[in-house]
Amino acid sequence: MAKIVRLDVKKDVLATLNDFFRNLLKNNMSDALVVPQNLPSGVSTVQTIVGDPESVISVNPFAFVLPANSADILVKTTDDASKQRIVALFRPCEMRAVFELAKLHQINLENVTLISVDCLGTLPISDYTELAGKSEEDLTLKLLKEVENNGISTISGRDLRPACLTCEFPVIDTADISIWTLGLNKDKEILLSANTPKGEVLLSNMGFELTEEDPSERKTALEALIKAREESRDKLIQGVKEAVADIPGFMRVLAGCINCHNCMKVCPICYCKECFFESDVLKSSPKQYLDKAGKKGVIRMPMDTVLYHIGRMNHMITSCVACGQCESACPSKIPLLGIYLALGKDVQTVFNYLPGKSLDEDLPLATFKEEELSEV
Amino acid sequence: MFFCTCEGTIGLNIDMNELEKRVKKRPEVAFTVKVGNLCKREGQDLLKNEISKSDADRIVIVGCTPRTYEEIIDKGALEAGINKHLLEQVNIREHCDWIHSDKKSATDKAEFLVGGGIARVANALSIEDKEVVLPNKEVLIIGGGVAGITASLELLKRGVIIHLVERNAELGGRAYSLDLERLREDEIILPAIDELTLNEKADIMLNSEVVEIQGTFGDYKVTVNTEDGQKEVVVGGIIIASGSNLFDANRIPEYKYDDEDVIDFYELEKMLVYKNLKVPSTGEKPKRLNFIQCVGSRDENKGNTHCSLVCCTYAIKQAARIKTLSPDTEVYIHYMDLRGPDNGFEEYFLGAQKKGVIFIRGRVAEILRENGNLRMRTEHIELGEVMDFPTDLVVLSVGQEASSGTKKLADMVHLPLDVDGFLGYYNDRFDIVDRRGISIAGCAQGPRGVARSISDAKKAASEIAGILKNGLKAKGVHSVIDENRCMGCKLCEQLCPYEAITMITVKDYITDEVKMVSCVNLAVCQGCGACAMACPGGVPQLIGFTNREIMAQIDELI
Amino acid sequence: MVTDTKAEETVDAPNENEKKFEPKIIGFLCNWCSYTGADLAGVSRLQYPPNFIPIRVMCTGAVDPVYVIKALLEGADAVLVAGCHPGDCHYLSGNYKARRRIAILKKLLEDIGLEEKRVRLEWISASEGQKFADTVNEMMKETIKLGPNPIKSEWDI
Repeated sequence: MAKIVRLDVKKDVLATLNDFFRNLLKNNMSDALVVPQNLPSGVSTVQTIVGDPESVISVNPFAFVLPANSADILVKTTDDASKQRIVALFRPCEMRAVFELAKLHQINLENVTLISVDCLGTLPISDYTELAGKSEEDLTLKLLKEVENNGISTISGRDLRPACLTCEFPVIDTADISIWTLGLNKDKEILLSANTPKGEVLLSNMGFELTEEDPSERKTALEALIKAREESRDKLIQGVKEAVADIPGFMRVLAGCINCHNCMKVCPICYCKECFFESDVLKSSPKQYLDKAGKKGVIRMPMDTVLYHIGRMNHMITSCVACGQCESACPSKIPLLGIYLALGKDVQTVFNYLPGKSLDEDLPLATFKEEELSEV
Repeated sequence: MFFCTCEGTIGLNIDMNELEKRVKKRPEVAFTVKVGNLCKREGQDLLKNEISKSDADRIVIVGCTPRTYEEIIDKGALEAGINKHLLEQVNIREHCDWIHSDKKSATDKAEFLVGGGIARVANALSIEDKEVVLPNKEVLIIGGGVAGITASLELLKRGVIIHLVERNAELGGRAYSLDLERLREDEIILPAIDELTLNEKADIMLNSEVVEIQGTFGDYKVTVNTEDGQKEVVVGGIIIASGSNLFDANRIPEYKYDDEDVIDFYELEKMLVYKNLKVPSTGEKPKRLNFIQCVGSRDENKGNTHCSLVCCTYAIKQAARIKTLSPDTEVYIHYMDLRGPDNGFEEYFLGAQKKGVIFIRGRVAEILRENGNLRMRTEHIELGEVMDFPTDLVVLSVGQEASSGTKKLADMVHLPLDVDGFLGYYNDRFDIVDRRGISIAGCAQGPRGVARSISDAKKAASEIAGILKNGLKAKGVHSVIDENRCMGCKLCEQLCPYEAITMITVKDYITDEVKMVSCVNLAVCQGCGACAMACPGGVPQLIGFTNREIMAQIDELI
Repeated sequence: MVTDTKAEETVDAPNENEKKFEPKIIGFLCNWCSYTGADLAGVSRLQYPPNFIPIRVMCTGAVDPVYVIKALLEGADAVLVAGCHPGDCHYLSGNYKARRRIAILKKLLEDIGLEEKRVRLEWISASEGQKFADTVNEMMKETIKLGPNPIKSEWDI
């Protein structure tokens, strides 16, 4: 049984949520909010840090765009001495990254209350901004309606980002509070579920009464959604696995890499101050370059492309939440999401580990067992 | 670059002249010299001499395995003014010359290996050996048996304040009731206990138990449950002398330890000390007395697999003393094979035989009480038959096993137990005190007699006192952490097997962000490199084995 | 390229095609067990092909998978990571940590079509000179069967 608060939708679902968050700040339930808001132009929606209730203007966690996995905002806004209270609203993939980063001691969750939403997926930024530029009414509300009628794989004729299309975590009910909309009539009401004592305290302090219930509509809708996502995921994994199944295939897939390391820069899990693959370790002297060219005949420049990709996977793939930001940021459109999804699944299965599922499971690389992996 | 031919034993397959010729061509190489034996005085002198003549700042030594003479060679290089981290030993002996019989390929491989060595040393970091400060000089001794008492007295003699924790109400342990005829007078336990209890610098906690140990070499905070409640002591080092338990013979029901007239050697010892040898059920002197050896020892099924080392000697000594006290008593010793690792064993053995002690080889099957009479069934290996022995008194030579608190203590100090459950980690190592200022003395590290326990304790005490007084140097290979690049993710802290990494709080110098970063405690770091691998950013680096060195070596070797 | 007729003797009877291929194997050997085991193999004059190249590390727990990747990308046909037996690690648990890392690495390499046999984790103690030599010989044999590391034919790594 979940502990639920029902919010009546008056104007529209976004306005209702905006009021909720504004009141949170107004009633001093938090010192700051981390919430996605529509840009004034309406063309995109970005994460914001808000300190003044009057600046809670256009909270929108349902926008079909995700410019960044903003788990990183909590890395920036908390430290080991943090006392200020933050309420943060994230999508499930961001939330899972938050959990991984908390386990890596990059985020101090002590005074943070986490709120998640049911996520229907996002479009590539360029597609979204293009649609938004043309749209007369609020694009989110328009698309929400469209999705309800048309299903969940394409929106206005455009494909979702592959990460969203294959996402097996469209909801995450381990955040302190989750905002439930899936399968419900968003024009009438939205549900807030308090999943932790922290979440319960926040909601009851705001004057809400929590009731115990288990809305079956959401469950049914969720199951259908996950089933569809998993089908696309398996298809994608199969395709990628075939493409990279041998070294020439793998090299073909990586051929476009320009060594910009954008995939690492936008990755929420890559938390190093200086990436191993950009550090002094791999620096070569002029003589070393030429010696190497002499020895090998030819070297591709910039060097160490494959070393970077396989090496980075070794470092972070156990924590990869498959948010697909790497792929979105890749100027050469390398199908990184598929690679990480396919290879990540294999590795994570070895340790029976689901990144970002909960805070209690040890990171596979932070521990070991004496009796395991005897076949290695 | 020095080519050491190891007195001519290298170069059987490798063409050393050709190798030198090829290597000399490399621009990194300042000069090459052939020597016969860098591990000897002449070689070392030559090394110093040649280095001082040239402007070379790094050394490659091409010769034997670094596992043998590394320390000597490092020392020689240091005297020549070159830090050991800037020296690389390339092993062309065990890993090349001795195993490849084809001259050409052996020489080619040697060239490769030398190239790898050059690449590695060229990328090496030079770090001066660091001194580590140890703030607290007092020592905690866990266990007040003969080892604990000896260690305490030895430390007090050197002016070190000690804290002794004993679980029981009295000091002395098992040695208290042993007849220690072969020890010098001043080592006998009773005066030692008096001396210790009278010493003002000795903080003795009886009926007490250590419950928590936190900290590191030079700064341990130890929580002790004492008679007067919980107490915290702060010490620099710890000696664990928690002893062993005697095997409980009840675990082998065939030996009828519940019978009055079946006793273990320790009960017999008490009878002998008070010269009061008698059969408990009758109060008379025994006419026939049988010792059973290896009770609970070397017995996979019912006891422990290890040999307790001292029981044979004890039994023989006891048998001889019985013969002296009561020459008419027939004494039999049933043994599997006699083991006497200590000096003088043979003398005891011959003496006992002369006095008429009879030795019978065979495993005793069971002890029976029938019609009021005690009898043993045993095989007699030499006669090849099963025999029945009537007896008045049976003495079980029970072995030693790890004391019940050993596991808990081991966990507290993060030491592994050996296969027999003892803290035997240092038995086969030369270090008496480990890098964390923890030493183990006496039976806690495995079965042993009083004499060895005493010598253990003396060694441990003198060593630990020496280090606490003089300070210690960081291990040659140790980790360094660049705190500016550290993200404080604690992966290295979680994977360090020695708790050598602590998280310290720092403020970002630009943003004032308060964050934790890792910091290596050089007193404790053993140089395993777990931290270096734990960190995805490669922030901790193992001196002498940095990522850059190894990557360069890989580059060169392929 | 290092050549040795002996190599072919020890790795019995490869067929005509394979005869030309002499695999290069890099071994990361832990200082306390496997490096010393290799020393013992040397002292015991146990023959193995010269195209096995050892690199000394303090502990298998210090072998960053990046080293192994680097070795394979540079063209090693196989990589051996060898250390103390489980429970025997000089540093208590380094080999357990290494086992997790190598498990991940092998999975990844397998997925991109690099045979998992090209990376081998072995426990070889200081007294197992024979096991060391046997392991190297066996790896040579297996690697010959696998053929050259396919990465070698890609220069654009």
